[in-house]
Amino acid sequence: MLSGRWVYRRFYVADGNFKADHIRQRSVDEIWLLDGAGMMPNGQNYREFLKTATERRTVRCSLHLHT
Amino acid sequence: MSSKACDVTGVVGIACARHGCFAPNGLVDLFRGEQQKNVDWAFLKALEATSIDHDQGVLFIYDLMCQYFIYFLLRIGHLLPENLKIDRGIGSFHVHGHKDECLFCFGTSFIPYSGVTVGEILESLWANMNAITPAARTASLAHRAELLDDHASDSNHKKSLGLRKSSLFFHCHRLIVLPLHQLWLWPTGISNRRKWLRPQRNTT
Repeated sequence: MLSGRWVYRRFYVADGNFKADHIRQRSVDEIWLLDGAGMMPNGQNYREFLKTATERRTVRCSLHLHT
Repeated sequence: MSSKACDVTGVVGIACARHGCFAPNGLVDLFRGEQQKNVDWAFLKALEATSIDHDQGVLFIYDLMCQYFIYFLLRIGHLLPENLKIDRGIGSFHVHGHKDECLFCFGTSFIPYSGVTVGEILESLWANMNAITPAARTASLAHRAELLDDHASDSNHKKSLGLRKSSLFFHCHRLIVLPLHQLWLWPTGISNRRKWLRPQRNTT
């Protein structure tokens, strides 16, 4: 009997981290040991999604002090 | 770093707002700034990997939710689990930088049955992660993914080890502080308290 039981509700929080960037490297020999098996999702599925994904930006709340 | 030199400009993470555990498959690369589609994918994969039941319901907290949620269902509504009720919120730290309306629309204090949730747990997780990002910056992409994965898994593991101690603390807190709160609420009348504690009708 899950419905209406708020204790089972999932709380997810999303946030970006711009310090975890990556500089383009010369070598192209990438060996993926666990592509999509750990914290990061599968790269190929992600790129396929990004190709078809839509991006609809609207005016954000105008007094937005924080970006 | 300039975006010219970088092929990945950052990551977006999904974590549990209550415990602060990273959600598996919820750490995605950013390529040109923080775009909505990156967060979309991270959210979808995190939902999938944490095998959510559609009866559970989700509270999704994001800094830019007031802008992000407008076309959310139009963008990925067909990919979400069916009948999943998603509440939207903005973390308590960011919401005060928004318009006043955002506080009442998205503030977690005003969302029924969201408990006392701050929704900024990732900021403190990033602070720990930033210790290893300089090493990940010049690694190969595959190695970087494993570094970040290792760090996030370690963070989750340590959290689960510390859970015993902190749940003891919160249990004592519940035993001592909550009765005091109830004592404090006593003058406001039992009738009001009953009204607040009454289960809210589930609106889907």
